[in-house]
Amino acid sequence: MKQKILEVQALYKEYGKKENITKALNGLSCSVMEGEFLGIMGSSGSGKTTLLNCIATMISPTKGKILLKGEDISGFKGGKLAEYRGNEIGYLFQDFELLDNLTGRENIMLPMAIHGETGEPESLEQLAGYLEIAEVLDKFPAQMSGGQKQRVAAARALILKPALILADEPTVALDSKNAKSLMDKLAGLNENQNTTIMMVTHDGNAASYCSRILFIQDGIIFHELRRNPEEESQQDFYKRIIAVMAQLGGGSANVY
Amino acid sequence: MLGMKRRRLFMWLMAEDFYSGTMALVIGLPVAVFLSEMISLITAKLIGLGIIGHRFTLSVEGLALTVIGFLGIKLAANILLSFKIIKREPYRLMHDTQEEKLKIVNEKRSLGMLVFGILFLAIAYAMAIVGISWENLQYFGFTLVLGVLGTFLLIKGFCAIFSKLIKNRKGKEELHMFTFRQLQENVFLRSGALTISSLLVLVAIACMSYGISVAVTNLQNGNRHNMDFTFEQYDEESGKNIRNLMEQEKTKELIADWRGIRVTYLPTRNLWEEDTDRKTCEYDTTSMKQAAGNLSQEQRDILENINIYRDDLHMIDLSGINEILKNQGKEPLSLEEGELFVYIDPEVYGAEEKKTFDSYLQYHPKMLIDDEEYVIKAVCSFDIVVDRSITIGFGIVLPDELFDRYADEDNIYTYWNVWLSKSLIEEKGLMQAVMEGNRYFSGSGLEFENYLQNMGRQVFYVVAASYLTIYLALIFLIIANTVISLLYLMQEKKTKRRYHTLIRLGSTYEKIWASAKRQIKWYFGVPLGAAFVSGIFGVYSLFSGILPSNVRGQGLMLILIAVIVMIILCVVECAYVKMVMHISRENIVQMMEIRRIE
Repeated sequence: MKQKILEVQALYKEYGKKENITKALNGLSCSVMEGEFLGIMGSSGSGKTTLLNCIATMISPTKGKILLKGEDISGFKGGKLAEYRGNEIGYLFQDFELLDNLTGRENIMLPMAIHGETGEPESLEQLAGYLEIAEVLDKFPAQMSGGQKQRVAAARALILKPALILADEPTVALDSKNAKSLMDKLAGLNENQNTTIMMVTHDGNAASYCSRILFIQDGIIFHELRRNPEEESQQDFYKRIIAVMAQLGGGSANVY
Repeated sequence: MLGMKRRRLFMWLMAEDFYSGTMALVIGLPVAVFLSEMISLITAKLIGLGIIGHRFTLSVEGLALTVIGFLGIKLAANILLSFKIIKREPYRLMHDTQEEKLKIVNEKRSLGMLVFGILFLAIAYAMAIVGISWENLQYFGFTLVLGVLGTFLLIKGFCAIFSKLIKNRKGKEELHMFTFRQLQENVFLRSGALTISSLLVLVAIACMSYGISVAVTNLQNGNRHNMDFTFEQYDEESGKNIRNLMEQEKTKELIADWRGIRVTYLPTRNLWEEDTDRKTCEYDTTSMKQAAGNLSQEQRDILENINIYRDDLHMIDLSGINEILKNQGKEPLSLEEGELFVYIDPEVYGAEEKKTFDSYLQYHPKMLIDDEEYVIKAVCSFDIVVDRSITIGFGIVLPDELFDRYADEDNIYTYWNVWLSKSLIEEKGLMQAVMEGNRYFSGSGLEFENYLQNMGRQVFYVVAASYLTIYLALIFLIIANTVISLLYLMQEKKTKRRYHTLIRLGSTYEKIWASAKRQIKWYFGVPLGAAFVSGIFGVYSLFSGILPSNVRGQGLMLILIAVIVMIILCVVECAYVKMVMHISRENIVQMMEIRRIE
């Protein structure tokens, strides 16, 4: 029986002042199960990145609750908040957010250093091998390709084995080849190591790797798609995604 | 990025630079004139001249030179800065690659730079302390070049070596590697700006310590005010005119006393070599030289420097000296038979010379004049005229009968010193009273000197030797501190994204703050540390090289004040670093509250 890792309950997020208020999230509720690869899709301004940022505690919701393993994260402060950001979630940014003055290895090890874990874990070599970044570990980000940067960023997000990986449009800055490579790696991690991933994307192809997709419009869930890999091919699932996206009036249909 | 040509971009930047320079001049020049006038007014008020007595003067030539100098320095700086980057594409200039920022450190080369840096500095300071640097402009320039080059090499070498050491050290701090990379990028491998700041702080420390020490010692020495006016009688007629003026009723109301002091040369044969009919006498210093044999080489050098064995010896009459002392309320001097005093100029020779002479007198040096033996009883060193009617480096003071016996009658000069009435001084203050006396005596057509000239010159010396250096020190200190703090805060702002990432990865405020604190300590520590160590030698060099004569021999006092000034500067710098830390902490607190870009 799979456990519920994350639960979002009636989440509201409003921007602006009384006269000019924008409701980015309008009572959104959803949950993420352990080992799930959840996709969040929607047109620009639908609230998907806001949802991710609320979960990542980058912004505070106006109303509502976010429970991680049953615990409300809105009460987290100081050390507990930092612990949550570092150990419970791993964040994969769309523009990599690698520190340009640290080498690949130092970037990957950064969460360990921040959370007081010393030494170089075996998982670093394993991750580097799996993500095909062993040759760039001692290079600076400026010396890496976009794909390598994103894979280094993925290794950094995974190094502490967090309960949940939050990926914010991880393929947006990559070419189709590198995007496919990254998605293959993420899907492999999800499948083989039961890594829970929550990914925001515009990209139908990237979304087709997910086991479930939530479509958001005007801050609430508009539609939900599920895929059973035994019954439906990735290509067919992709077609269904595109059909929903057509209704939403957005999204891209990159072919890897 | 949008295709603007390099030439056009360059022209834009130059135009912008010229505009900012012009604005700086338009605002800066009136402010500078206003400030200098304020300083003049305060000085005039402090020395008792009064604000009304102050006259506003503006040198157009000075203004023009300032403008030319300012623009010239800006042009030179632009050429120097452009030289390195002229052939690079603007886009490349704005986006340094990480390889350029984090060049690989060559240990041998760094060690070489460190060793040569220390060597160059050691030579430079040795030259300055021994005094070679002050001998001529070439040596001074050579010392300066060695010092600057040594500082550059020392800081560069030190940073590179430390960069290696710190990287390999396992720090307690969680963000050790991040902190190290930040330091490597902004301090260890980019030490040029910090070295310049360090040199500026060094100049500030040296100027401030030197300036304040000299100023305080000068103030402690007090002003030499022995009389108010001096009239020079160079012939019989001028003597008659002076007497007539002094006996006028109006003069009697103005003055308290007027007394003459007679001065002449001891008429040795050497003095009248070509005019042997004149009165001459024999003068022998053999006994003086024998007595000096008991002194150390350094003491003998000082006596030689005073030129005590000279042939053209001045003679001063004792009664003239005693009149001056009497008007100052001091006890008159007396001489027994076979005794004389020696006189040295207080403006030329200071405490060190007097101290040496006192040691010398223990050995009872004697002079032989016309086979009569005279023991030097003591040293007199005070002004015998108000300013510079006569300057006597070294002379002898004889009782009047001996003075008359040896002096050539046709070659005696009398200096008539005048003391203003006490009631006038009490009523108007010394400076105003002297100014009033000056106006009155100017009408007589006679040549005279007044205390204002002496005072003015002393003020000039103090201003030149101390206030100016303090002023320069403040300017350099402000520039250096601004440069270092701006460099740090700008790089902190520029790398804000890195801090955001750290926060997103779960770094706490405490960890980021600890990293920032360590960066600030290094950022300020490297230039300030180098400056303070060099400053010790720098101040010592200034003391040994360009110390005004009136404070020489007061080494302990000077060093004590300089040490106090350096400690105060240390405290000021620490306070400044704390302030930068405070700003940095506020920046970090702001960064901790990450907001969505709406």
